[in-house]
Amino acid sequence: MIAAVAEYQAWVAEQVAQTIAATTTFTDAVRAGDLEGAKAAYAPSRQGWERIEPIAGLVEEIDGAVDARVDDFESADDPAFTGWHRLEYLLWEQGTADGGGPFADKLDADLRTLRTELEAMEIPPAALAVGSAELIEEVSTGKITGEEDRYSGTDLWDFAANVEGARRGFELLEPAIEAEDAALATTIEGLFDELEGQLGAYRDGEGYQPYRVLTDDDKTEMQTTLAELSENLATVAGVLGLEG
Amino acid sequence: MGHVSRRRFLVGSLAGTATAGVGGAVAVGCAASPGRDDRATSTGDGSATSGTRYLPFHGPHQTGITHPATEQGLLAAFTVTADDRNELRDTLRALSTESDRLMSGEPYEERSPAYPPLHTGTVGNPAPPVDLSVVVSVGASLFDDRYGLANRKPVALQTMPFLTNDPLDPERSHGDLLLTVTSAHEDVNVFALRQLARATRGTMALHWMLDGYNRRNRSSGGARSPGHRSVESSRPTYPTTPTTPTAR
Repeated sequence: MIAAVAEYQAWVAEQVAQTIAATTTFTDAVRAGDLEGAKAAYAPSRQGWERIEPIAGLVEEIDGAVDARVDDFESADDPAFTGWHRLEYLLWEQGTADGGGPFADKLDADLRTLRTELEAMEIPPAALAVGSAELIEEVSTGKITGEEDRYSGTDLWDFAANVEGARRGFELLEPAIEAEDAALATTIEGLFDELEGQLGAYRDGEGYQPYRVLTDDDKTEMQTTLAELSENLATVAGVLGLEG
Repeated sequence: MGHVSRRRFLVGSLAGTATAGVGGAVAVGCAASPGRDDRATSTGDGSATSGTRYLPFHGPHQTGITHPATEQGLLAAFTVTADDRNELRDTLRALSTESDRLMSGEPYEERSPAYPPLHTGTVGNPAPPVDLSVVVSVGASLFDDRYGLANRKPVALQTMPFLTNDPLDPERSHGDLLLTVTSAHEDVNVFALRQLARATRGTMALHWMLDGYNRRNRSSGGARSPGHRSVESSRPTYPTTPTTPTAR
C-alpha cells in the first residue's frame, strides 16, 4: 500500500509538470494574441490536470481558481471567474484572445502554487480508491452532460483523461484488490476496457471529436458504463479496509 | 347493470394483458378504490387500502395492479442499455430482487463506513410500511432487434404515435421499461426509485419521471380525484370510484 501511494505521488508530480508545460504553450499563445494557436492548445493543456483531478481537487482554492465553471458565478464578467474556462469563454464565445493576458498569467501562477502544495501534501491511501471512484461518478452524472467545456466542446478530451487517471489509481491498488476479491478486479478492468472502447470510437488524431458529435445512444451507453464502473470502484475502499 | 365507465374498462383490459406499458401513457391499473370508510370496508377483491402495510411482491399478478389505489405514485421510464438478452435478464432479476426487498420491508445491511451505504438513508432502514408496490412494465421499443424479443411483442403494444394537435415531447415520452412506484407516502416512492435505479445503473438510464397523487375527494363519497404535481407533463389518469355507494 505504501509503495502504491508513493508511486502514485510520483506519477501525480509528473502530471503536474506536464500540465505546467502544456499550459505555458496555451498561455503563451493567448498572450501573443494567437487565437487559433490558443484554441488548439486549450484541450491538451488540461490533460494532466484532468488525470489527477481528484488529487488536484484537494487543493480547493486552486481548483476553484483554475477549473471553475461559470455556473459558480453571477456571470462570465464576474472578476472571480478565472482559469481555463474563463479563457475558454474568451476564445470561443467572444472569439478573441484580446484581454486574455491577465487571466493567462494567473493560470500559470496558480498552477505553480498547485505544484508547491501537492509536493507538500501527503496523499492518504484511501484517496487513491475514493478519488478514482468519485471522479468516475462525476463524469457519469455531471460531466456527461457536456457542462465542463461548453464553449469549446472539448469534453471528450477531458473524459478520456479522467478515465486514464482513475484507471491509473485503480491499477496501483490492483494487486491488493486481487488478493481480497479477484472477481471485482476483473470486473473493473473489463469496464475500463469497455469505456476506452466507447471513447475510442470518437478519437480524432491526437484528440477527440467535439462533444456535439456524441450521439444520444452513445451518450446513454457511456453513462451507464460509467455508472457501473463507479459502483464497482466505490467498493474498493471497503474491500481494502481503507477508511478516510 | 350500471354504466361501466370507460376508464374501468381500460383498467380491466390492461390488467388482463401482461401489464404491457404503452410508451407515453400508462393507466395504473387498480381494482375499485374503496369509499370513505375504507378501513372498515372490503372492495370486491377483498382488500382495503390502509396505507400501513408491507405488501408481497410475488403472486399471480403484479401487486400494484391488483392492490387498491394508494395516495401517491410516480412513473419512471428508462432506456435499457443491456448489451444482450443475458444482461437484460440480469437487469430484470435485479429489479425483482430489489422490488421484493423494498416491498417486504427487508432492512439493508449496514456496512463499514469505508463502503458507500447500501441505501440512501432518507426514510429509515427499512422504509416504513406504507403499502409500497413496484410495477414493472415494458414499452414497444424493448421488442426491437436488440434482445430477440420481436416475435413476443403483444400485438396491441405500439409506440405512441403522432397525435394531431397533441405533439409528444420526446424528452418526456416513450421508453424501454417503466417503473410505477406507489404507496401512501411520496418520500418512500422516491426512496424506492433511487434504490431501484441504483441496482440497475449499469444497464438502465432514466429517461423521464412523473409523479402524482390520488386525492380523496370527501364531497363525492370518497371518490378519488387524480392530480399531478409535475408542471411539465400531462398526467395519466388514475381510475376513479363510481359515486354509487359501495356494498359493505
